[in-house]
Amino acid sequence: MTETGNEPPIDPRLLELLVCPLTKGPLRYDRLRNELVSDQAGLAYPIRDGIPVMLVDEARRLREDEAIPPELRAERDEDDR
Amino acid sequence: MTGDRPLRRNSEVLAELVPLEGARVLDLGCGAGDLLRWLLRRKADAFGLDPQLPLLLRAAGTVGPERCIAGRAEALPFADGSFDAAIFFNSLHHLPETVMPAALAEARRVLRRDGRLLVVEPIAAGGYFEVMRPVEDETVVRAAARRAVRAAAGRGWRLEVEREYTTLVPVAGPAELISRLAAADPGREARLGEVRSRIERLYARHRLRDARGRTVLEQPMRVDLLRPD
Repeated sequence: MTETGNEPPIDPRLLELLVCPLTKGPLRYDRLRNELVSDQAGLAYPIRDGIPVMLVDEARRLREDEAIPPELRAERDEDDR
Repeated sequence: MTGDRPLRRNSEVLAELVPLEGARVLDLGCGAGDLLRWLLRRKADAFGLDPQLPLLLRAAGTVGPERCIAGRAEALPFADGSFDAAIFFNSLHHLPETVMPAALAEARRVLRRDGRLLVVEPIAAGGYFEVMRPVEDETVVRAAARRAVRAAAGRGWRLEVEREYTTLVPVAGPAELISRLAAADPGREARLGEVRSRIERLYARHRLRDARGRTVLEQPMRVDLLRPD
């Protein structure tokens, strides 16, 4: 999979509506890979032409070192603001 | 010719049963976005969900990707209480019967307490149904959708309105119908080639003219309005 950076980003309002279809937990937006990451499920959902693909079959399984420990997650969210 | 069902447009019935202006509405099984476009014209804050990305890309071409989500009705990617209304328009019967209860439970979850769910389904009768029957006989799956809605009433849902009507679907000719059926489900292509002549014969038998002189096929419809109990 290539990371072009040319893919249209997801609309922020749409992002606010979305949760992981499996865990119903929060998603974090990985801008670089243009994916929506569910740390709880260990899955990354792709975004194709600006459309979030919230299908478990289409999701990428996270490598162990990619998952962000929960205690660090809040901090990271703060940094994004 | 329409039995005791009144002649109505789908859009009229929908607008009567769901307040749309400013409401956040989820179109479940939005396909290429016909209903989504209509909801947006009615000033609804509408979003469409469908598992088929090729269809969604077509929808996104007109309504914008910010209103389109690839996903399954039985595993909705939305937070609890996100929507004022959800609509299954001609889509519930496309789900496997085994996941229908989960899909209805998910719709319940993403709706607000005072939200409403509209299930609009074609009845397995009428000219349109008869003409498409050689391609795909939906009698069984439509009955399954009906059972699922019935079963939901009392299990988290209250059935507030149930209504039947007949709608007239403009179909200029058999070729148009065939391309429409192929567009709705790309898996039908091979079957459509085999039954072309039967569709042509059935079309000639069932076609009617509406008040404006257009060639139409009758499709009886059923709508159920469910509210969280």
